[in-house]
Amino acid sequence: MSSALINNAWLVCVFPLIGALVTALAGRQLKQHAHWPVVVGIGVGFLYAFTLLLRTPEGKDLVAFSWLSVGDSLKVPIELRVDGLSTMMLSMVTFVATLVAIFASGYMAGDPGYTRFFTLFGLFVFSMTGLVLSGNFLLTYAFWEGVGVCSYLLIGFWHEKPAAAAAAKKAFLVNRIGDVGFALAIFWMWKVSAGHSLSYLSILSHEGLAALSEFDRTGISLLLFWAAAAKSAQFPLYVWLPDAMEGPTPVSALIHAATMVTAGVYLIARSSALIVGSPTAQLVICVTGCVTALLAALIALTQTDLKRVMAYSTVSQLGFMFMGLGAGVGTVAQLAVVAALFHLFTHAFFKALLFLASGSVMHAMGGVIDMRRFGGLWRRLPITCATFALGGLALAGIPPMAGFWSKDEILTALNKASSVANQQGGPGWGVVYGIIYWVAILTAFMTAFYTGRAFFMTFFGPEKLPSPNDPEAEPVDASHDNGHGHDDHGHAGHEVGHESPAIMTYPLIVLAFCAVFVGMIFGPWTGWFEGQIETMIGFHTLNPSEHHGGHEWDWLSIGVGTLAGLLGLGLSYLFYGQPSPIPGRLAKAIAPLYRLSLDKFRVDEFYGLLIVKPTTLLSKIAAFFDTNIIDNLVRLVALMPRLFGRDLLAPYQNGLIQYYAAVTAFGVAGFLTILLLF
Amino acid sequence: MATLLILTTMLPLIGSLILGFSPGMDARAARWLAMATALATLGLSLVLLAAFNVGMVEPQFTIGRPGAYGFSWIARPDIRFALGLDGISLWLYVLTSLLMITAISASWDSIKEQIPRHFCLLLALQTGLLGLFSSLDVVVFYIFFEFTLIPLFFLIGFYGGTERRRASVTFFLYTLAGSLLTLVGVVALVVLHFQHTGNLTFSIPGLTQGLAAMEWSPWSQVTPWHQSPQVLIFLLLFAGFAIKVPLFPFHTWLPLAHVEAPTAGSILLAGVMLKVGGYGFLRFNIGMTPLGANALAPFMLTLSVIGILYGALAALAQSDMKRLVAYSSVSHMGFIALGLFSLNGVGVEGAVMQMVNHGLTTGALFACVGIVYERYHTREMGEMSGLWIRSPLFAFFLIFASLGSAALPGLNGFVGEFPILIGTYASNPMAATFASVGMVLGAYYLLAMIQKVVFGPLKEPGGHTHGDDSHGHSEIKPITLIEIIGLTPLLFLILYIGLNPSPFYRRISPSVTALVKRVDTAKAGPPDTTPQQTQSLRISTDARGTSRD
Repeated sequence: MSSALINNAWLVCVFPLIGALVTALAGRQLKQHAHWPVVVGIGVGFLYAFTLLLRTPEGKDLVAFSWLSVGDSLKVPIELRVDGLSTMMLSMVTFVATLVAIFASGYMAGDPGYTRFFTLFGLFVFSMTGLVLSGNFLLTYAFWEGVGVCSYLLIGFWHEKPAAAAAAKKAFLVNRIGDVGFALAIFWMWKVSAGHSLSYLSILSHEGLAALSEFDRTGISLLLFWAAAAKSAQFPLYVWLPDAMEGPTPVSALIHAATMVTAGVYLIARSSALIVGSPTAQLVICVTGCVTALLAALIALTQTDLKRVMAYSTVSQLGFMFMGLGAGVGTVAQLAVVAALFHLFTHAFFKALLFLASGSVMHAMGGVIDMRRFGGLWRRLPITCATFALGGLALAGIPPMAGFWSKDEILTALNKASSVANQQGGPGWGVVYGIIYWVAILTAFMTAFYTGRAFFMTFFGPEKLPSPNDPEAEPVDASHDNGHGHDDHGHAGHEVGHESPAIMTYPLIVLAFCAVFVGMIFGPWTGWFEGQIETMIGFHTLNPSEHHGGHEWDWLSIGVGTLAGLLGLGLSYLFYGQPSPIPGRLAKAIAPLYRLSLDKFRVDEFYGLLIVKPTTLLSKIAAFFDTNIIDNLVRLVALMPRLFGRDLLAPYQNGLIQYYAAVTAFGVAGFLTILLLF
Repeated sequence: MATLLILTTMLPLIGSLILGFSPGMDARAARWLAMATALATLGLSLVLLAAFNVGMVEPQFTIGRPGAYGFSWIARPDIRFALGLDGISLWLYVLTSLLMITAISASWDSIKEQIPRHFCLLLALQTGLLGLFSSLDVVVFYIFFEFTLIPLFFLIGFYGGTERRRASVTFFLYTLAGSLLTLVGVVALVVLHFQHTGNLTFSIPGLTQGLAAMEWSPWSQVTPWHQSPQVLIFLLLFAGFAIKVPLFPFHTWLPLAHVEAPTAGSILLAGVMLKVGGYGFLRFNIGMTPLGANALAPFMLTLSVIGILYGALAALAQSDMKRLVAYSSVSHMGFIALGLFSLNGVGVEGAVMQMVNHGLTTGALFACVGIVYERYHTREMGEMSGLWIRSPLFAFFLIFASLGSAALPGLNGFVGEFPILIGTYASNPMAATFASVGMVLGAYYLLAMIQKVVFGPLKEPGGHTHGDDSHGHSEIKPITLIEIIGLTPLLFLILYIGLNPSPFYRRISPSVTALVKRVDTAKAGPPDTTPQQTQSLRISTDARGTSRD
């Protein structure tokens, strides 16, 4: 019974796919019910995944028919890996997706692209579940690009909007840059692995790892991290994620907060048995995560677009997860991997919640999302306000909310890493990890601050609603549908300033419940999550910590981390809880820094100058070179026979008999002279 | 079955002759006759495909016995009209039959004058291509090879754009110049083979085997101070095929020819004609001069990588959709050449697969460009945007074909490109790494095209801009049924091959494996004859060993 359940784990992927196909084919008939097949498909997928999760399966590989089999050495089957890690990811993805789909059925109601939206939504969930269920690197890569293309089409969902089209292209291209890293990692693994295998089971096994040299491990790890950095929006490849907010808000919540962007973290965690073999790669991962977390938090401090604050917060939290993964040196390895994955898990719930709540605000404000244009909404949007508050507390890491437990685990891992890293990497490494630890705490403080700021600016202070002639707001008399240039359109005549309908608030309530409780239920308190992850391939090859039995509490991290969160929230209340001159004065006092943060550290401009411009220039040069130089060279060659024939030899054939006679005479004379002389 | 192969190959020619001799034929009749011929040819090709014996290395559907395939055509010297298909040619043969349907439907409404002559030329071109892929005799191959130039020359010259004269003459002279050098190379092979074995044969399989087994030490041995004559002959053969592919820097005829050619011409030119170059590389350069291929592989890989990056960059700078797709072909054909000269089983098989894939995606992309041009009489991307609003179906076609071309996993481009790159990585990591950058650039120019053409507010060439809705321009006709019929099989295959490439690779594999093995044997040198080696022999083998590294 149980084995039949596991053997058919592929059904979790297939249900959403069927839903998407039904919606695609029957969407025209279903009209405003077009979301049902997808919602049901993903929902059933969740029930299946959750059943699997409760059984806590021992790891098992399912190998189906051969997908790509070329020559005698490239053989890639459809191979699925069912273990604690994949069932955890599957349950999380399908659970959040179900709720977001329900929310979206209210949010997207009336959109002309309703059917297309849910088709793509279903396809995305199919790709994402495929990604986490895949049992070899190539199949993961295939789904990895699959989620990328779904994300591309969903960011560009409002295709008439030039900003959305540009954001979609940018997202795909930056992700493609990462994909090259992934592809090169696969080439390398294939070349050096025993039997040219790409399966997790053979590469990450003890023997598989032993076959790799230190150089191979470092190279492959760094290439994989390159891929993960693009997908999970790490410095310097994070620039696509904030722009991706041009897509509909449910898409931002599901893809660009809870699921797809965590794929990079998942990949590195999945390969952790390989990564821990290279302390250099771990340090690179940890430092990159730290820089990203700090930078994104600094940017989030000053943004006024509510969704963008959340986007930068996502980037920052993903940085936290990578810090955790990078901290797995020596005996910290198991703890670090569990911590990073647990943060991935809890973050999915509270960040999806925060995004959906932002969407609810946007819905009520008629498409306006700039926090300067509204305020004091708690009376008008009580449910949204309450759920946002719970999500915010979780993000700020206040006990006993979900975010507290996972953030604390990461801090603990970093703290321990600073004490053991010297033996692993060499002198000085401990200091580096120590610095990272304190930067992480500083970032936690800023996280609490910008979360509080967003909350207080939106829901506190004097009540303020966007004016109807606001440039961002959709026209109230939507007589023709050019409204769908904006998010949250199609609610023609919908009055501004009311709480969203039940179909949107219920998912918020469920997610808020999770944001409060998942940390306590699954966290280190019960040890359940760690038990899940233990069945992951190669987990036992990681160095276990010396400490056995029960969770080891790091009271320093708990204390300092909680204090940072409370301080941040308190300070934000002081600044934004009621009208206050402090933020304005502060911004003036540190004007250059403030501007830099507001301009997102000009990373986009930097890219434009360093990559986009040169590429464009190079392409112009190539095109010019092609039409003006190569082509002319070819013509020059083609001209040779003509030059030779017509311009060099033809003048002699001028038909004048005197000329011929003269040439003949000179010829004979010359010939005779030569004969006489020699 | 052998008769069926000859019949299939000649069927389009029969249709072509009927159309050619009745220039006054009614337009409808001419279209339907062409379509019926193409459909019948496709049907017969599919029968051949079904009858193809998986796992066989030797050519199938042949008359006669190995060594003397076909029937005698010229008695002395023994030139034989021999046709047959093996794993390398099978899919290109079927692809030609399939793309013909797309080509005919693309010219269904767009050709308005001299309709019978147009279809006559298309069908003649088809016989040329089918004959070329199935011929087993170098003379027959060469005749078909040159024959394909004639209908294409007239297609561009009669039905092309404003600069069609220059385009057709450039195309003709350029490819002819190259193919004459190739002819010299082929003759050299035949003569050398005759001198050293006393056997005068023109058979392609015969020559391939004969040359490999030839006992003439300069031919099969490479030492640091001596290169085999294979290198020189490789370069002669290379001339014609490199222009056909086209490899950088021999590609400049291509954008010109594409921009001027009618849509059907572009579909066949990019879809099938370019593959003749890759096919020739495999059959002649790698099959008959393996040591030349091995010695010059770094050079060929370099040219391929330059072609990949340079073609992609040039595509990025184009404002004309058709030129963009034309330059994308330069880039994609670079990938194919890369796979071929990786001289690695996986890479070469990937390249053969990718020839088919590129035919499908490029055929679909050119058909999409044709749909735009047919309606707006321009291909300038600056003049249009938001065509999604005008026709969601068109947007779907263009995005789907582009994603296939950009090698998205699950679509066909991936299952060809990935083996090419992984195979190349195994033999030359540096080349594969540089070529991987082409993955990003490839997505860049295609997505840029999509962004300009189908995304954004609706703007149609002809002056009007529509901020909101599709008022006006009611004379722009929707996608026609015949256009859908031309595109659907391609899009279906783009998806099907991506999901299940095994049936394709199973048929490609045996023939390619045999070919690659031949290269490996040639590299290893002739087998040492006696157990007691003399001192000098041992030195020479050592030298060979070091030169290989």
